[in-house]
Amino acid sequence: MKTNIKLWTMGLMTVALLGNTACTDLLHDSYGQVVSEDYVPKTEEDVSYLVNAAYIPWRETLLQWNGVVRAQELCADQDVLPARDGIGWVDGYIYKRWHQHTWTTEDDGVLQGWERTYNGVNTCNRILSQIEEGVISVDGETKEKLIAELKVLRASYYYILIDLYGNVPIVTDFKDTSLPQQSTRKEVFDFIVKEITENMDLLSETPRGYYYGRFNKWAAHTLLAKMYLNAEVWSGTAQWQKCIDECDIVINYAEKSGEYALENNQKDVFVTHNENSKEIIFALPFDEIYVTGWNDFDFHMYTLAPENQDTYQLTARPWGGRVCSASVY
Amino acid sequence: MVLIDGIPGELGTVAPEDVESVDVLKDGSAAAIYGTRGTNGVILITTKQAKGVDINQVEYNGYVSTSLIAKKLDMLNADEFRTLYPDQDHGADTDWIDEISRTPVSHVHNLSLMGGNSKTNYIANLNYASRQGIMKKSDFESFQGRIEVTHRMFDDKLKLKFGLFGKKNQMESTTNGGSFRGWVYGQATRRNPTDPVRNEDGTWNENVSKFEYENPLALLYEAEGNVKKTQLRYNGNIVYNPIKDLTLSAVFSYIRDNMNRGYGETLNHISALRDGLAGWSSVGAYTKMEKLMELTAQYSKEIGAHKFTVLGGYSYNETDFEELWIDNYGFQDDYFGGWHNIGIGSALKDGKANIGSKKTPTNLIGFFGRATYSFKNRYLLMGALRYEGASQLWGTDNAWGLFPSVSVGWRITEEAFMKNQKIFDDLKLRVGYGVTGSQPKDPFLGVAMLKYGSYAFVNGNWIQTIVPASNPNPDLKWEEKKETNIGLDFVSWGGRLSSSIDYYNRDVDGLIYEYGVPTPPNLYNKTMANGGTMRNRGVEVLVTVIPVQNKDFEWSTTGTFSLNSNKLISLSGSIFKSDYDYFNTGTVEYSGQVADSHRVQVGESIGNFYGFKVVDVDSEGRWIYEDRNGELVNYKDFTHAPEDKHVIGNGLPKWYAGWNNTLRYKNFDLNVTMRGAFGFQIINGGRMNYENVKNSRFENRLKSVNDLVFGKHTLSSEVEPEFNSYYVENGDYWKIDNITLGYSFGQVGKYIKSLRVYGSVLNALTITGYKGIDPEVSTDGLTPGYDTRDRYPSVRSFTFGVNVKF
Repeated sequence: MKTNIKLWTMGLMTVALLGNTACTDLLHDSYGQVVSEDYVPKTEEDVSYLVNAAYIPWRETLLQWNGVVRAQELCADQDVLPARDGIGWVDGYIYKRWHQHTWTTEDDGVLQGWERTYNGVNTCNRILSQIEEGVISVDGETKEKLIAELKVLRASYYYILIDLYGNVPIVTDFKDTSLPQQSTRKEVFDFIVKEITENMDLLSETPRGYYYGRFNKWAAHTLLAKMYLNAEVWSGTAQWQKCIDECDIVINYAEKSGEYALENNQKDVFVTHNENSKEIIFALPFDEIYVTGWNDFDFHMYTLAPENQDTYQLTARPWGGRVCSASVY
Repeated sequence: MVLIDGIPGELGTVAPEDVESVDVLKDGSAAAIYGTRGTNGVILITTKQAKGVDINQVEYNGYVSTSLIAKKLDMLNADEFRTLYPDQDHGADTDWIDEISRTPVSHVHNLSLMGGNSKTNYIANLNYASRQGIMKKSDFESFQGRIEVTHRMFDDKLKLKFGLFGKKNQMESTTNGGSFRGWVYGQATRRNPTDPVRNEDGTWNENVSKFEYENPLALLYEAEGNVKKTQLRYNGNIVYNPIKDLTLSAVFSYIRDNMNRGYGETLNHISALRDGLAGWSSVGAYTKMEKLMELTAQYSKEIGAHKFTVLGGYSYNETDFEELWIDNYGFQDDYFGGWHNIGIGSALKDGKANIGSKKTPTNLIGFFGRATYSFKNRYLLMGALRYEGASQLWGTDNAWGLFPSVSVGWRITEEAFMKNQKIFDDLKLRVGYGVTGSQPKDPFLGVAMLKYGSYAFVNGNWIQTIVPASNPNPDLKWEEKKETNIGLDFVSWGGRLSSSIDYYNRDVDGLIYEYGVPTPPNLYNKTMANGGTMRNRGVEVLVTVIPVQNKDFEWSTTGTFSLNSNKLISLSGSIFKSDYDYFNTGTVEYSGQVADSHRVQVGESIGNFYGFKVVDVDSEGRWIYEDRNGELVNYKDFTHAPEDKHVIGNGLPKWYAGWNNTLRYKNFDLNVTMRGAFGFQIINGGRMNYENVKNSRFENRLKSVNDLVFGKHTLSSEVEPEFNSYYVENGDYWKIDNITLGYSFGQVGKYIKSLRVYGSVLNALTITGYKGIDPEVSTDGLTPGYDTRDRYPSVRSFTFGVNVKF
């Protein structure tokens, strides 16, 4: 009898312990990250946190290591990155291959431009599909304007891709997970021009303020001008007159409103605090405290000589590296 | 997985002097009892226990040891360097490795007390260790104590065991959050031997213009810090037999780790002189918690010649990790504290200091059952089933997995036809099959997660964007290891010969790996997914013989041998679909460059090195390559196209062997352990970086820089360092690892029951053709066989110790 009581007590205790559902629940508290279903953007600020993520890839793809700036400049006649005794800058001959136009499929510079720029395209597509589904809740005119701005931003990423690679896949549907197919360079050209012209009217006309660093009408016209400037090479047909027309639209607005103008001293557009410069149409904002990723902004590090640390009172010692070629100097 | 008295821990948790025995469970069915954590095998460590009826014993173990560098990279000395590179001669004569190393002395003391009787007994163990590393300023001190009490009551029906374990240790830091700064060793290896340690004015000799060129002694002496850890473990065991055939048991344990650290650099450190981070300092702390509860009930019954048991159980394991850290710089002088007064650095006011914290809870839940049946102790059958869920897989469709296992044993010596044979004392055949699972390390990979991204400038303010954290993969599931095991155990020659032969076949299904995926359509270029099947197949043999056994002399020897072959069966999984049946992985480094080192390809073994193949040099010492078609191409014409790479070696040993010998002559005892691995290659990172004649960074070189490549010519000074087959070497080795000679005095005086003194050498001798420091390199994961450039020198230790039983 005693044994039975003991057995029963044991049994009950075990059942009580297991009956508590905590014993079969898998933990899923998250700190530092949030399950995206649980994040519901409510205010305009909340929406801006999500939407502005689409602009960040521009500064990353342009300036980070072996990014677009290097890919475009080191292939051209102006800049060269020679090996430096005592410091390095050989890096598997990648800079030499850029200069001699003999890059291979394994080169970092070939990969980074693609991945970082498509990161921008994907982010635009993601946010567009989130707006469409209502996950990002905006209505009416705000919604139309936001969609237009994102489509033009996406077209601007394709502007980089058409230049560096040419016949890239045109991807617009975030939900489509099949492997995308290539389009011809002309098809990509037509797509970019169509996206910009179709969404032009919904873009804002405000030159700076809320639209500093974002696509407004004038930045879109400027982008269109650059497309027509390259039309002969990218689409096969020259379109010089259309380029002139687009430039004129921006020039006329600048003269009439005075909102855009060249600086009196050409060097002033490059000062550290140039956020109020009227010469800038589309800006990539940087900040000493807020944009501090490795290689996010290091022009000075790889163009100045180490001794220049004292010349300019720099915190860190530059690496030397890039120079202009003798013929340009 | 390492279990210490049934509770999860690490190999380093308990002091080796406190260990009674170590057992290893390898095959699938044995490990199936322990679930997913035991999928790579289980090591059971049993600490010293109080045994016997009337116990009253005190035991002391102590030893002192020192070491010296057994093998290091053979770099040029100052004279040899200035002969080769006269432009870089700075006049002095420095042996940098000598400057950063020392003759260390370590001592360890262990005291254990045991007492009690058959009803209640206890054991208490105290251990103190003070260890010095061979490099300067690498000290480690620890103190730990363990006490365990066992009590039986209710006519031995109830057994209670309670244990308490506490440990504290402290190590010196010359790097943030760590101990010895490995970078110091790399700098000392390649620093110009004609540079002096100090300038004439007494300051450290530094060259701030040279990239990544830092005085190693300055790095050591201009920095200071430590890491302090404490661990407290509580554990309890209850075993209750209410009736003869029923056993109920419960295991509880609670482990708490705390760490506090601090580190700071002075204003003479390179971080201040070159990088503008005056007095860079940091502090940090973490708390780790792990609790475990396991409840089992087992019923056993014997009916005539049939014996069977049934067991059911539940196990719950939860961990939590919380961490915080702060770093700051911009201290105006070295007077007031650095990391002990971290708030006064100016970077904090400028918004440039870093602060962070995090928390990661996880849990693992399992329900398991096992049944065994044996007939006349001759035929044995075991089946087990485990249903396990892991929090890392929460949010996927497969958080819970079912893992079965079954095994059959046949004690052949119990058969009637074996009764009259005299060869085998015991002969047993066993066959088993088991499935265990592995979950991914990081949580929330199955669901879409958001995190804070970079800052964006919006309407005059910098705001933090919110972006997806990873590619979500709801199909992520348990990686399953299916193992088949056939084994034969026998004992013969009156117990003087015993052997175990095992054949195994392990298939890992759904390998969890971070696969590269195309962008678009994915957001990130990598996804953690299940993708592929890998097969490991082999044989393991263990033989123990006591060839000589008499009053004065006994010799027992154990040999182990294992053969393994490995093959990747397929690569495509649920989300990872590929038109290619291979991918490149692994990284080698040479002179600031990185390249892929390994290729993983379906139908091939894991561990293949993939790189350019060189077969000769021309008359000037430039490489001659073999291209994709086998044609020879000159250095000037070779485009280094990826299609011209070949498989140039493999880092996984084909077979391993070990041989341990214990000899006893009167009161002397001698123990020698040896082991080796064969049939593999190693990428020699040291030679790849330091054997190049071209010296763009003016660093030191190996003496072998003067060698004739392929017997023809020294390497041309035009040739840049690169990863190719010239730096891949055979790694086969045989090591005579531990030699211990001891003498036992027996009873000494009235109070000392026994006394033994011993001396031992660790890492006595390595026989190998490999030119690097040590051919025993990592063979883990998908990138085995890479001996990195900055690999620490191998060390030989000499120990003298005493065991006393009172």
